[in-house]
Amino acid sequence: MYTALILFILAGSIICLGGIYYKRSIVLGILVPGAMLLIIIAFLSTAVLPYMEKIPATDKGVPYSERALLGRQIYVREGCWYCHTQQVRPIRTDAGLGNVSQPGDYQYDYPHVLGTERTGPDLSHLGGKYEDDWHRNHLMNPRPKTPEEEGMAGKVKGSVMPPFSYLSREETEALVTYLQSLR
Amino acid sequence: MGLLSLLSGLCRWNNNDEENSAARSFILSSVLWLAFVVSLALILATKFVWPDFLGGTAWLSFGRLRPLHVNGALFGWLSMSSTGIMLYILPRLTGVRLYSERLGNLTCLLWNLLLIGASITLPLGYTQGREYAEFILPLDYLFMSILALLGYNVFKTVARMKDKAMYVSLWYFLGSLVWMPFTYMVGNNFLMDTTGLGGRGPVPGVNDAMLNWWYGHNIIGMWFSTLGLGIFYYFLPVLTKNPLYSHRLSLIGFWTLAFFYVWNGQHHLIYGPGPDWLEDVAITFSVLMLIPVFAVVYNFFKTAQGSWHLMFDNSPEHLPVRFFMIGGLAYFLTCTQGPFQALKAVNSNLHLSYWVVAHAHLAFLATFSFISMASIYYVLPRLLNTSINLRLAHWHFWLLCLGLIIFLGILHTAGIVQGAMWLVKLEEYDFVTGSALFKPAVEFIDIVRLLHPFYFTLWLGAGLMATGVMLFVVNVLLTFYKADSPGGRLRSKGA
Repeated sequence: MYTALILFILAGSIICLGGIYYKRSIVLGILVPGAMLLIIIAFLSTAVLPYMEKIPATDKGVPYSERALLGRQIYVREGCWYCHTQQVRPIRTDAGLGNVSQPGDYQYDYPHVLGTERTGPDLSHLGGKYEDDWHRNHLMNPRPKTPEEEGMAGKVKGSVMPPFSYLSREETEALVTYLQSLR
Repeated sequence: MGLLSLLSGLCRWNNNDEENSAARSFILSSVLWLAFVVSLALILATKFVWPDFLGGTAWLSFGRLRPLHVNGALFGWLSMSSTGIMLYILPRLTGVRLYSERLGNLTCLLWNLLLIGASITLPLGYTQGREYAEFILPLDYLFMSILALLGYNVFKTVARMKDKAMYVSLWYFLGSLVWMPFTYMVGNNFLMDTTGLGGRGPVPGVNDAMLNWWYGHNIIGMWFSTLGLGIFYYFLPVLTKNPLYSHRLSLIGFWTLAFFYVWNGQHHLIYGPGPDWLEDVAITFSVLMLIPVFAVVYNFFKTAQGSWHLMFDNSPEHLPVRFFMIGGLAYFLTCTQGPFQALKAVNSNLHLSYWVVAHAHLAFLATFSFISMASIYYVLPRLLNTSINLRLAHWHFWLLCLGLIIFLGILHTAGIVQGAMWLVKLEEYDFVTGSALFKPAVEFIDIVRLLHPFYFTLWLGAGLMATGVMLFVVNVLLTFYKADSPGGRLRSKGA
């Protein structure tokens, strides 16, 4: 693997230096194959080589139930992953969020929902943290709307999460099942 | 009335062989899409302050409008405007006419159809669920054919060139058109139908994340940056009125960018579940990116030397200069930010925070959008043979800059605040094993509450920017209208 990587980097350097050395003459003949080769070499090294690595199985990387899968599709469709991550990193910032994520955890995740930004908290180990009702209330509207709702399970003052009151009952149940399956 | 005549003009131009008509169609379309995505941006910013604003309606919810804002801004406004300007520049650098204006106009029409399709499917919840690659499969195929048509047109034009020595802008344009189809194909599941796979895809989730960020990174590096830099290198000597400082340096920049950029994808997943060696490779190449960046930046500063006063010149002739210079400076900022963010120590504090969002806006809005706007202000009076409303343009500049400073300042600060708050931990010592257990000391929701004033200020900044940009859109539309009205050049030619 490392031999291949070093060879690829060498090949890239040669093309790159060749391109610079060749200056501006006979450009099309150099530019098109050179540019194409450079991107393919980098693709092989950074996408294909890691694909060849074995991924050890983990307890978290198990198939979803049918209902949880439907919930996962809703999670993807509604763009929950724009604001919630599902990755715990081995650094101080993420300490206390639960077990550090392993590659095997994502064996059945397609498309991946690792996320890039935490407007809301990380959801890697959300399952079992709250009751189902908490999630139902939270999805309906995350904030208390009336004085009676204050202190109700799942109503969080100051949250900026969008309300998902438009989801049908089945969709909400599936989404809750999925969220509870994240352990 | 004006808008109607504009739309009919757009359709008329579709079957038009007149010189520069493709560039004109692209610029007009891009500006209309800009108005659309800026309105979306304002809605999204409002949702942070009043989360129930337009809530409860499926197709207006945050998670469905966000991809439309991102994809619309990238593939609608930025790609189309850059393409339009590229089609304007091509004949001037090659010395021959564009291979086919008709084909260019058809490409523009298809591109608009693509975005109309996306504006319908994304709010309805049809998404591939991968950042920057949300377009569903039929739209992917449409976009690939658009790229093929555009590439055919551009390569045919360049092949007709008599003088085979090419200015660096052409290198960047041709490079973009070589790289983009491959990048787009990889990013969109290799153009496979992956719906209904039930969680198990062609690759495991971890590799899917790698592919997604391989694409998410390279679409910026091998399409937006390269198109933008091609335009940048064309207008640099034109606007500063100095010859380009060094061709050799620009060439070093081109080849090192082509080599280094593509290896960086994994720096979006540092400390993530991917292999460690890949992160190290990505970080190394991210730092190496300083070479192509400083090749561009050094060329920029050396060429612009002695012309900075043009920025403060209020004459119509020098209107684009200030936009261009801000774009160049923002390029310098955003591209030094990049390698620095990729370092593990920095990344562990700033990744996943609003700093990332700030970085993205610095690159796309402050850098490449400013370069596009400068070019449009330069190109339009020459294409339409009319003048631009100077007063509106100045309002556009100052409102946009003021809004941008507020917006970027607040977003960067919010990112630092988030990163710092996440670091605050309670330590619990386990006296049996002697190890320490860390727990977050601040509740997550308390950090969100802390950010409320930031959200409000962001909203104000976004409002200022949106006003500025809308003035730009109005200005461009007025310019088109003026050219299209009786006595204007287009009508009088009976085109």
